[in-house]
Amino acid sequence: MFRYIVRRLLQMVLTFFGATFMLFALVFANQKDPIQALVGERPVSESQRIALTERYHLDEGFFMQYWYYMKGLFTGDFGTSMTGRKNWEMMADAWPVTLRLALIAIVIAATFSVTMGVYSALKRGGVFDNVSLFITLVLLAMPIVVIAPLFQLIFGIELGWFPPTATRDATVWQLLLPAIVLACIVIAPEMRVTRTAVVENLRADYVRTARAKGLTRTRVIWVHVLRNSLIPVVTLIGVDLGGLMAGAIVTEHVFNIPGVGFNLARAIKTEDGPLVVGFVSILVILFLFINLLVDLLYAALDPRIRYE
Amino acid sequence: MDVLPGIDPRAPLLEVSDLHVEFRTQYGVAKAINGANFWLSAGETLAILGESGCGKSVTAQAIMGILDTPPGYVTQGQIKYRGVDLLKLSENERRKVRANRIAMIFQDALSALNPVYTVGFQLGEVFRKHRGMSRSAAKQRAIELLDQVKIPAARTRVDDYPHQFSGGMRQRVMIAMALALDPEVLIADEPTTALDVTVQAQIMGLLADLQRERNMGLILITHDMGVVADVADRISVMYAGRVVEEAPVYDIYSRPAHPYTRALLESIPRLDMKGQQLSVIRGLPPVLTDVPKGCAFNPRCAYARDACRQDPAPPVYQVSQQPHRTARCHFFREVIGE
Amino acid sequence: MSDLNTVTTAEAPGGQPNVPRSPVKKDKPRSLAGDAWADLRKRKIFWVSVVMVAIVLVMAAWPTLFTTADPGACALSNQYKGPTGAALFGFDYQGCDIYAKVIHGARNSIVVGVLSTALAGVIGLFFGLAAGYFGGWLDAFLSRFVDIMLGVPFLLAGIVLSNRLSSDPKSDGIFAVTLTLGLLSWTSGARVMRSAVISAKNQDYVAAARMLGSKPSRLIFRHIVPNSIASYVVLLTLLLGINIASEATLSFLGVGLKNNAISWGIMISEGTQFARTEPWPLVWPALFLGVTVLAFIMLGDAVRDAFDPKLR
Repeated sequence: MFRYIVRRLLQMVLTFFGATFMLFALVFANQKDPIQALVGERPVSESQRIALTERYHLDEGFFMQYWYYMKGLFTGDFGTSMTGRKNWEMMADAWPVTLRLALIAIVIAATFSVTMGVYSALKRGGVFDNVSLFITLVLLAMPIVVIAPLFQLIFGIELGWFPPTATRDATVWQLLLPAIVLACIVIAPEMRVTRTAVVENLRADYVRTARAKGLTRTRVIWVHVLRNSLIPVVTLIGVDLGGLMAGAIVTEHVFNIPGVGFNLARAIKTEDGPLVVGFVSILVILFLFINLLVDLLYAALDPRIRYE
Repeated sequence: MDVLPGIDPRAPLLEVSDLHVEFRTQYGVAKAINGANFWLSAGETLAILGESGCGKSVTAQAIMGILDTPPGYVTQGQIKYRGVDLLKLSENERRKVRANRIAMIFQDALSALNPVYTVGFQLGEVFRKHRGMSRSAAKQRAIELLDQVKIPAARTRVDDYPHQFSGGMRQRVMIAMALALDPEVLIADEPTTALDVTVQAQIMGLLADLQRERNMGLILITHDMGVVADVADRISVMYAGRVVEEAPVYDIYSRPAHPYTRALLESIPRLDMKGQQLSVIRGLPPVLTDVPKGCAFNPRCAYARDACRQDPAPPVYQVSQQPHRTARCHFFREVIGE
Repeated sequence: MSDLNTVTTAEAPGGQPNVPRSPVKKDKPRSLAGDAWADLRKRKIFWVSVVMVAIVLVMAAWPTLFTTADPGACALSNQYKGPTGAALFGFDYQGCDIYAKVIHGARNSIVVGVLSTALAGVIGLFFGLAAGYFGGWLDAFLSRFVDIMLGVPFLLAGIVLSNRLSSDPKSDGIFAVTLTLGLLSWTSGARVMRSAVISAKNQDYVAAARMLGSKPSRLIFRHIVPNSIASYVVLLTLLLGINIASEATLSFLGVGLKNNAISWGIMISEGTQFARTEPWPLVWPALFLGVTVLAFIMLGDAVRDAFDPKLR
């Protein structure tokens, strides 16, 4: 187990450097006029040019720039945005909002997908099962750019059940509708996997044993069957993580939530390279760590799996 | 322990009469059991013998009340435990009969045990849910049980998962689980089929010992005539969902009364027949959605005549009073007489 | 790529009675594709998706069959006007005919979707084959490379790359978006192809062909590819749906199609801004995009179910 974690961490280091390097190259390499690119549309004075050249090591090679950036990253200096604010300050504002949003979304998604998935599996072939299969197919196919604005329109503006946009503090109540939108990305695949897994496990021999032991149906399903069925569901969370991040960008944009996605989208539009690279570097680290965590959770859920 | 209403301690331990079970699938109705009759007394071992698919496992599941419904339905008959018809009980009463009074062990212990829970949890669960014990008390009882089925180092192994045990040890765990609440009836569905021959003997020995200690009634479901000869008192031979012959073990081996039993016995390899060709039963067991008219065995039977090919199927003939023997063959005298 | 050691559960020998698994009929033996087709033909969802895909394709190829109006002809005097005659869906903020724009938007969606999927398909096929067939360090390198690509969430990379590729302020962004999606979306295909090749490589008939002295190229294109191509094509159908959605997402965020290129994503973005006053300019493009993506995903889903014997 220990060796497995060490090996995974080493792989993660490699992936991290590879990914940030690619990103860095995409944003900064081979620019005709890097200073103009940094500043965007605004005119630049000569003194600004000198200051920027020095700050971003523009007179040195691309690899050196990457090296300086990484050095900063590991000494806690996430760089400075083109707006003049420190990147980590902006992140400190944005991250809690996004984490809150993601957490609400995951709680909603997990509750819905597991209960509905189990119910669907128990009543398979029934009306509920067929209707939910169709709804999940539609949800599965609907891009978030369709769901987010339509939900905002229907439930936020027309019906007025939820606040259609968030303010600076982004309260839980304001985040509820966007979290439901975000949850939609995960609910469909997870509900389907739960359903399939429960259907398969209901046929398993150990279910017969559990019934022969005189356990109640409730206990057989929620203790014996569900525990086995959750194994594939948990793996899926790792797979869905990328989708969830993409969803967060669009959702925050639509609902005006001052989180990571919102800031990132704005940074890209204003061509604020340093801020983009700063945000994405942290996202990549987070993404890799959660994936590792999911794998470890997988092993904890299924004792038959040993990592070597 | 809960008291079942109408229980009669003097009534037979278990009595199955005219049991019918069918599976309603999308391809038609499969009649898995078409009138099974047998009984079991305390301390006795009844072997139910037959090829795979003859309905012996379904019989066991019907007694336990763990048929998968749908597609399986008990359509007719009685299953009486100490005079109480289990089929008339509510699901909740039925549930309490399981493990408390009638318990079951399964063929493949690896898949029959839940892979994600420790053996101790699965054993202790019985005490916690039926006896309301605490987790720690239940675990203590689990260790004792593992000891009783002779699993070495029970105290440490109780925290292991099923896949960490060998096949034989796993089957011991199954036995421990079934015996946890001192049931009066134990149904063992092919308990040794998945095991090595040497381990088979150990497990059968253990089962026999535990049965003697507790004076349990044991229903042993198997297709292995060798296993039966050593441990069973009586044998019920099943074919296509019916008990075709029922007799004490000695009589059945020496003078079978049904052509199917006879054919089964002739297909056992024997040392004194070395060098001769082993006889086999011609043809295949019937598909249960399409059972032949009359006696289901008639297409494969050497004794078959016109009467065998017409409905109704042969009734239960009394072959002898003492010992009690029955057979479902119009020509049992001819079969037994040779 | 997995480091898992799973103890496989033993198959339980049948405790069930002899119930036939399928209707007992005397059919002549059929191929997998024949079986799949027979299965597909019976599915309603397959035919529904085929019809939907066909309509979208016709719309993309000959938009004038559906509308004669010029989607670029907008008059501010028409702002938010309700449906009139040919303009079935009314007019948007800038006074453009929503119906005409939505119909003409299909072409860019399909063009970007098909071209980027084709590009991803070729790259994935090539890398997957190479990694699976040659194995060794090449496989290790390519697998690590895929891991790195998957280390950056797809949309993040898409935003940055697309933004970078469309540096020309006057371009419509079609080329940049197509290239972006093609370059980023081949990884899942490569993985599928790689494992298909690895499992095919161990088949007896491939080993036999190798022993008979077949050249590697012949082995790949005659024996391995035909046996793995079905699942790959299904994957690409699904990817086509995803890429159409991704194009809309990038356009929505302002880094996809731009200037005067018509895109459902841009229409949704504009519609969202003024949804409080007038919802229809948002609803129509959202519905068209949703239904189009749904059609491709449903088609891919149905075909995959039919081709996967395990699910039957």
